[in-house]
Amino acid sequence: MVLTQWPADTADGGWPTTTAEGFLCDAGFWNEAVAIHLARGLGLELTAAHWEIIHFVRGYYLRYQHLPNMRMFVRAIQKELGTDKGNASYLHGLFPDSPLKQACLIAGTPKPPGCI
Amino acid sequence: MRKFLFIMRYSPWPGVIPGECLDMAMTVAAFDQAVSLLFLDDGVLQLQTGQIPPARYRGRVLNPVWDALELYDITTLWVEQESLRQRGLDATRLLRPIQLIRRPDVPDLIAAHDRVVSG
Repeated sequence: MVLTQWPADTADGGWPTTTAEGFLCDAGFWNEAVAIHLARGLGLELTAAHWEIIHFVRGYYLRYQHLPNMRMFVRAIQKELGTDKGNASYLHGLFPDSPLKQACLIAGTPKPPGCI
Repeated sequence: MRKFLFIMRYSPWPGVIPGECLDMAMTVAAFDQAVSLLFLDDGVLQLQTGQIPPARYRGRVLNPVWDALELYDITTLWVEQESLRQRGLDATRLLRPIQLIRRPDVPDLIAAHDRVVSG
């Protein structure tokens, strides 16, 4: 995927602006390069397993215009990707601090409700 | 497994109740409980096709979320037909296929569930 043209007012020499917690201010200014940048900010190097979850959560957000809580997130992943991946220990292995919050942050969505 | 019935009674905007109620229903369903929805009174407006909120509206639009219900196995949806008729809505032109129920049958539907949440 190619980097799109960011608007001139973005911070950090062209990276899109984020909230104090690191979530993108505008979910539209996202691509895989931005995701890698956001993940590094969390100390994560993205593997194929991370990308699968990140694309899932971004697709979910864009399709339903809804952000799940952790319970819904796990259930939705079970449905779409199977129970090997739709469980808390697998997701914690990928996103150690907080699977839903970190996956959403890297996927460029707003902060999900119920995340602290 | 308990049987939950969420009764949707409010118009889709500008209030936050329908969205919160829907989130609660999906969360309960994600905890492996049987969840059904009943649309009653102004709640039937949530099912109207072609909803366009006013430009100044900044809240959630629920239309796309209905497609997520199947992810959480929420497949039983009821709509009360007098509420539809009073608002001039056509049962064949709602956002989703849905089962009609007559107003006198609502108490039996409610009684058939273990937990009822009205929102």
